[in-house]
Order: sequence, then structure tokens, then C-alpha cells
Amino acid sequence: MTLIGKRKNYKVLFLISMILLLLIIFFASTLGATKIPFMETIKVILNKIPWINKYISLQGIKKSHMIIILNIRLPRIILSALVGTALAGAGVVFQGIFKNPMADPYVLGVSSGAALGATLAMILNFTGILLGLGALNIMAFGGAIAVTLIVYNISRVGNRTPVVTLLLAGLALNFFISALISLLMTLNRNEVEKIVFWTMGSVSAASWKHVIAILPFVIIGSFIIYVLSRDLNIVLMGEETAKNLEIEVEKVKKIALIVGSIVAASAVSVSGIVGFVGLIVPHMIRLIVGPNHKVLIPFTLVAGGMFVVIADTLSRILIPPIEIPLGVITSLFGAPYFIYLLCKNKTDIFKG
Amino acid sequence: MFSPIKIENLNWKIGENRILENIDVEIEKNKFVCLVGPNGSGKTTLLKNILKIYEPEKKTVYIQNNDITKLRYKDLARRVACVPQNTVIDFNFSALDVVLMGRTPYLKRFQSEGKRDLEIVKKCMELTNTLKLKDRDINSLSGGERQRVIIARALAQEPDILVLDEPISNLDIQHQIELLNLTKELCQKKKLTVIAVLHDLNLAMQYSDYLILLEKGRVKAKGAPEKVLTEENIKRVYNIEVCILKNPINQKPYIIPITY
Repeated sequence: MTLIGKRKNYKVLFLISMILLLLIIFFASTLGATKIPFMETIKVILNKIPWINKYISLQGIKKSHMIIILNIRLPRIILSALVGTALAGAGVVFQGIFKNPMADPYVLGVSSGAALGATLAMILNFTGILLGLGALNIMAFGGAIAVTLIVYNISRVGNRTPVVTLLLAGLALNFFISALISLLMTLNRNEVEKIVFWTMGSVSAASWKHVIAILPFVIIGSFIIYVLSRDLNIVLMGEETAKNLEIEVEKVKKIALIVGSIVAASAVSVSGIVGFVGLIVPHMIRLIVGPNHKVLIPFTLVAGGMFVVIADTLSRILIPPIEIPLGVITSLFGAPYFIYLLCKNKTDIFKG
Repeated sequence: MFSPIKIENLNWKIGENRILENIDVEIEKNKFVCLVGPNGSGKTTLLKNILKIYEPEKKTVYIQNNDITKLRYKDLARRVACVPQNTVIDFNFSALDVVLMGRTPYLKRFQSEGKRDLEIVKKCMELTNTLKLKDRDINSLSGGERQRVIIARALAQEPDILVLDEPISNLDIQHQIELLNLTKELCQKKKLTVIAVLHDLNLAMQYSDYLILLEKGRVKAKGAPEKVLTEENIKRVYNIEVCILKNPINQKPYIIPITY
């Protein structure tokens, strides 16, 4: 049986991809508008790691450089990794539970809800701060959750939620809320630029507080998503088979929807709407490792992190001092790559 | 020994429509049972009640003397395995992955399939002649191959009862016979009790040990195939004239619709 051997390979491969993610994070923190030598950056970061820091000397490194790396670049990079992980995780779980490769974290209205919340916060000029987070983040999170709940309740029939109704309800509400946002923008012209930029996604305002705020959501959410991997596999076999294999489809669906929405909402609340990650990262990984969620989910989580870290780094360094919105980069580079994968895969299908 | 499946006075409604009425059936162990009847006569609904996809009333369906409403899904899955009507899967799982899923009822949440599970899966794939397909993408298989993979998955559940919902309706005649031979063989070799919905009355006649004829949610007739599929019964249930001859090879009755 080759399967067991294959699984061991995946473990090694997963370890390698984790290391790769760390390397990408290191490397990304050496890039930026201020030129800081590569070795200096590495030293500053390693100095923060217990055990290793004894052997690192920070002599001759400017204080301002340390602040740039530790308080500006690192939180931003780690936040983007978390956002990527969250969106990719929500995407993979929604694609599985809806048995629909077109599903993404935003199908249930997470993005439009968050955008509505953020728009309201900007227009009403809320500036309150709770747990170190701005009113805008909290309003966005609240909006995302509220809209998802509405979509879920619209489509619930008894104790079942038919997938198609759910997708259609999400679609309808997305349009409705986009219209509301447009209306609000028309009535508040001087906020338009802020709102538009927010909807293009960015982590440029990142701080350690944001990281700490969404870290528990992403970690616990990712864990639950991984725990669901077998159930997701079996749900894909069809509801009859799933029930026959002792999976309670409705229960799994409910957990997956709740966890996916919360994780996506937490990401969107700090980053704005970063498109395409949740849709394509799971697909890219599925093309590489196959549809088995046990393998697919861990790789997707890590790859989502890598993807957004790279995208955000590009958004910082491509045309300084202008920052390209993160959502623009993810779609601009993600879409062509995805199309390439699709074409490549198509020829493979014909060959095989 | 108690019977694998016993149904007592089962009724099932969807909305105001009575789909099943007063079903009383007892199935003997190790028999090949066919469920026949026109479209909409309640065959699939009856199967769904046996599989607890629909939750029947208490004290109506018994699986090996256990009231099905009291069996946990996990316990039911180790006794009854199903080959559903629609076996199309949207994602590209390998055949081996699909069969491995049959082991789910035996695994704890964080447990992954062990050596024993793989051995069982291998045996099931050998039995269904699908081992050579193990790395193939399930969507690249032909209808007959896919159906055999799904049967392997059902066998991997190590069930006592195998339920098949129209297993041959999408297959050509060669694969129909192949699949029914396989099922019959499993019934005899693995001591399985098989319940299959079939539309082809002649194949049902040839392969089954016991026949249940449904009409509008009621059991019209049950028992030995040649006693159930009589000219009058077919005329009343299907509303067609038939003539029954003797199959010259196995001496079993052979039904011919009368057309001119």
C-alpha cells in the first residue's frame, strides 16, 4: 500500500512549508522603504527569540531601525500572514461544505457586512476604542457577523439549510448591502475615498494590538477547521452517503458555517476586503495535493499566510512611496496565476 | 436467529402525501431481496427509512432486533451500508480515498486509518476488482467502475446488510450483469443480506431470492419472485399486459410485455 508512504511525505512537506513561511516572513521584514541591511534585520528579530538572543549582539544597530522592524514591519507581516490563513481556511471550509468550488469566504455576506459596518463607522465618525481596537474594526466585525446571521436565517428551512438557498440568499444580500453602501457614499462624498480604499483591503495600519486581537480567532478557528477535515471529505460524497457513514451533515454544516464566518470576519475587520485569497489558495493547493481535506486543510492554511505576506510585501515595495492596496495585488497577481493553473490542469486531464 | 431487517406497520408522510402505508416486511438473513414497483411507489423512501436518512417512528423498523431509532449512526453504519442512486462526486478523490471513507464508522475523531483498515480496504477492492483503479481519479472512471468502487466503500464498512438503490440503471447490459453477479456473489460468500431496488423485472426475477412489490406506498405482494411477478400483479401495478414464458436456460419465468 502506497498510502502510508505518501502520508509521511506530506508530513515532511508540511514541515518544509512551515519553514518556508518563516523564511518568507524573515525576508519580507528586510524589505521596505527604509534601507536596513539584511543581517541587521535578522539580528533584531533573532534578538527577540529566547535562548537564541544570548548569542546576538545588537551593537551598532540604530534605534530607529529596530523600531521600524519590530513595531512597523513585523506586526504588519504577521497580521498579513494571519489574514491570509484565515481567509484561505474559511475558503476551503466553505468550498467543502457547499460542495461548490466557486464558494469563497465572502459568499455568506462577510465582506459586504464588514464593509457596511466600516462605512457606518467612518461616516458616523466613531472613534471609540475597545480592547485596543478602533471602532471601525469592531463595527466591521459586527457587520460581518450580523449579515451572515441574517443570510443563515433567511435560508433555514426547519432545521435544514439547503446549500443553494444559502448561496442565493448570500448573493441577494450582498447586492442589497452594496447598494446601501453606494447610497451612503453618495450622501457623504467627503468619506468616499476612505471607504473605497478600505474596500480594497490593506494591512498598512497594522499594530501588535491587531495581531493579538485576531490571533485567537485564527488559531482556534484553524484548529476546528482541521478537526472537521474527515467530515468535510465525507460530506462531499453526498448527503445520503454521509448520513450512512454516521456523519450528521446538518451539524457539520452549522459548525463549519459558524467557524468559517467568524474566522473570515476577524480577518476582514482588520484588513478590509482582501479578495481572491479565499477562493484561489484552496484551489491552488487542491491542484497540488488533491482534494483530501486532511492534507488539503493544513497546506491551505500555511499557503494562505504565505500568499498574503508576499502580496503585502509587493504592495509596499513595488512603487514606493505609494502603497498599492493589498486586495489589488492579490487579485492582480492571483488571477493570472490561477488561470495558468486552470489551463495547465486542463491539458493534464486530456492527457490522462 | 433474528432477522436482519424487520419492518412493522411503517408509515411515512411527506407533507400531506402518504408515501408509505402499513409496510410490514421481514427479511431473512443472507438473502438477495429485490424491491420493485413503478416510479413513485415509495421504494427509495423505504430504503431511506432503513438507513435512518429519514427517522421512522419508534417500534417500526428493526435492524437485527434493534429499534432503529435507538441505534446510533455509528452502530447503524457498521450494520447497514448503502450504495446510493447518485454516486457523482464533484471533487477529484482517488478511488482509494473513496473506499477508505468506508472505514469512518470505525475511527475515532482524531484517529487516522491504520494498517488493519488498509488491509480491509485492500480486500474489499480485490473483491470488487477495483484494486488496479486505486490511484485513479474517481471522476475519470466509467460508470461501471465507479459503481464498483462505491460498492467497495460500502463493503469497507463491514456491514451485514447491503442496500443498493437502483445500482444498475446507468449501466449497459454487460456491466449490469457483471454488477449483479458481483452482488449475488457477495451475498453468498460474505453472508450479506442484500436489498436492491431494480427496475428490470426480469433481472429482479433471475437474481432475487425474495421480492417485494410496492404499489402506491403499499406492499402489493411479497415472497418468491415467481409468485410475486404474476401476469395479474404486473397488470394491476404497472398497467401493462405481459406474457410470462419460461427462460429456456434456467427455467425461470421470463416476462415479455405484449406489444404489436
